[in-house]
Amino acid sequence: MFRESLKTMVTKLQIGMLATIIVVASVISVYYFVLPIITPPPVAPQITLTMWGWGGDPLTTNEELRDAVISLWNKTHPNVKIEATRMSWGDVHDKSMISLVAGEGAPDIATVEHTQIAKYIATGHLVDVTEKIKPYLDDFPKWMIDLATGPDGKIYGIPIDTGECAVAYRIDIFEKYGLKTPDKWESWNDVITEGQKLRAQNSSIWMMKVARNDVNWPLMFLRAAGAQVMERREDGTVRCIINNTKAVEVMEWLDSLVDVYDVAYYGDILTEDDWADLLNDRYIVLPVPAWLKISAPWSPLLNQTGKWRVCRWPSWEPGVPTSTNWGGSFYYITDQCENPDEAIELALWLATNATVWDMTWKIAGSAVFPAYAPIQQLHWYTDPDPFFGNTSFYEPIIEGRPYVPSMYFSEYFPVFWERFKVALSDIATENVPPAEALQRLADEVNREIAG
Amino acid sequence: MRVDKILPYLYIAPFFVFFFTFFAFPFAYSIWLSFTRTKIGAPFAFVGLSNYWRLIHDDLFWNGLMTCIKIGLIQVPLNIGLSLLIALMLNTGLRGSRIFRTLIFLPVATSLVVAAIVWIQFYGTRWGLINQILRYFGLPEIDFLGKQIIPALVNVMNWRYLGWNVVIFLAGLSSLPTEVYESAKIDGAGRFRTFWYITLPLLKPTFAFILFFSIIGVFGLFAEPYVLTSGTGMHGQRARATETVAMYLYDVAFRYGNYGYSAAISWVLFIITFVLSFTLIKYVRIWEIER
Repeated sequence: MFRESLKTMVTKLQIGMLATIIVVASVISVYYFVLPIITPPPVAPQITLTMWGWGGDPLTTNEELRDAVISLWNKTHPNVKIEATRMSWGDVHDKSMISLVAGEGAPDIATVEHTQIAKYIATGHLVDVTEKIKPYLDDFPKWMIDLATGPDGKIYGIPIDTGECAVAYRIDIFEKYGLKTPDKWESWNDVITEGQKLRAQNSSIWMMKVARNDVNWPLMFLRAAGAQVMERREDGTVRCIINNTKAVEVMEWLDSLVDVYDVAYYGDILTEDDWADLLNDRYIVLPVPAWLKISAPWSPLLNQTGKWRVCRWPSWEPGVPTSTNWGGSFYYITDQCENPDEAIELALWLATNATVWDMTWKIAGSAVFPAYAPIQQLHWYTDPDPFFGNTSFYEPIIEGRPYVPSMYFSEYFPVFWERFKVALSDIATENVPPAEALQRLADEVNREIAG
Repeated sequence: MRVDKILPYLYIAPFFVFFFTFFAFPFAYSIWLSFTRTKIGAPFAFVGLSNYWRLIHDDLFWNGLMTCIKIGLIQVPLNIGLSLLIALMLNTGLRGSRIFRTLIFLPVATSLVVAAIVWIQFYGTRWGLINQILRYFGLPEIDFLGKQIIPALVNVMNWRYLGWNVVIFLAGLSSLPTEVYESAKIDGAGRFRTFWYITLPLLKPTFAFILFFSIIGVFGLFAEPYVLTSGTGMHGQRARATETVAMYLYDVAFRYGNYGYSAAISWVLFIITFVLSFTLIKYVRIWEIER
């Protein structure tokens, strides 16, 4: 009896053990072999990147372009959501600077012009992008990278675009009056000789307009001549040196075009009045940065198709090739960004991806001039343009790129810029001699730097 | 009982929370800030009165202040004179005066940036509407946005604030006692004498009210010269003649990132405005006692 019951017990125990083993084995097999097959792969946590810009980049140009670019990005980065906000230029500056300094409220990525990035670097709140940008460095202009490099030697900005310049001119009027065209000028001084010939034949046409409402305009000439406006001394201090001999020479030369030689006149550029001046043949030589493509669909000058040509920036010193730059911008990543790697990757992708630039041209109708050289090979930048007599608008700009002199701006450039506006008005409107106006400008800026 | 005591404080609490957060604290903090070097790119430091000392010797600050005074001396009397004239005409109850009143008030409600864009089109040196008309009649062009920027700016300011002052004057005129006018009529006073000896003196509080806000407005003048001369974007001409103290303050704070010095400028500006306004109020009180 006892034996039988023991036998039954053993059997039950064995059955129980066997059942336990089967259950455990099944659970293990399901966990390790079946579950991975039927369960979708684990999803990476969702990341959101915020970006602010004023319209010079593909994410803040217009909504259609933004959506298309984000959709393209999400094909390879489904877990990275992008929230781009377009603001006025002033708002981007004011809000980003305040939020950077305050330590909260800043976006992950923002755009800034090449002349102003030093001010943002000086806050100490930008993310170092040196390692990530290294593979691309050879294809960005060195002078742009220099501007994004902090005093510590690290790079804090990813170049978006540049504004290398050329000179556009009215070939029909040059031919009509038998004038030597800017592509054949030995130096800028030919604007005086040719201008005087023109004025002798037709006193209602000037060679050029000297801008009094945009400091970038004289800066083009200062830069091309190799003049500097700011300098960082060995002790690390910054000084405004716009009163240097070279800069005074350039500003006096520009002023003389109006006051001495009467081949140009002071006026406002890039205004309705300015377009009307061009449409009415009031002046015929127009310095153009790459972003000012006067044959673009928005241009008021389209009815002058075929009458314009474009050429390299003339030399300042005869026989010394030069070029210059007006404009250009960077992406920067703020230290409030929780995912800086993804933010840098996005910024680099936006700046260097050919499909993004192609999309910008197709959807927005135009685009800025890429800082990243390989993008300049896109047909948008090489196609002959009927507006310029079937020559390429960008060709002389691309050719001139290696000749753009470096210009140092420093973190105090915004001070210089605002005061230069007043100095320019002093020269153009109040007839203050350039040397005096530049001395006053340097004093005002240096006082602010010292204060 | 206890709840009854706390409840009234809870009801008024929202106001005080906002008041202390957005007014009292920034107000007090800006005083502290003005005694410090709070500047982007420079280490923070307590500098005592050196911001105020710098301000005394700062040509740009004094130039800004003088610009405000110059513009104010031209614009304020012109605006007050014109608005009084229009208010007197509208007060006679002429046909269509209600529509005219609405029309003249419209610029006050117009976006200044939009208005500036339109005015720039009018003022365009060569192809602006006004210069095209002048050229049509063989008259010389006027450089509104250059040499003649002050009259151009005063004109925009008058266009913008005329309607506001007209409404204030109309409110003042409608509150004048009719008995005084009736006795003047019985005494044989003519229109001009009635206006000179009755209307004008009785409107003194209205004048004081308008002057009070004009003084505050002139010393805080920013938007009109900024959008008209400095541009709303990256471009723009800035004449020294239209560089107001508020524009300079804005530059120092938001363009140069020098928050300590800008706080000192704003405090001196506040004190100047306060003293002038206080003097005006005191003058009105004296006049009331005399009455």
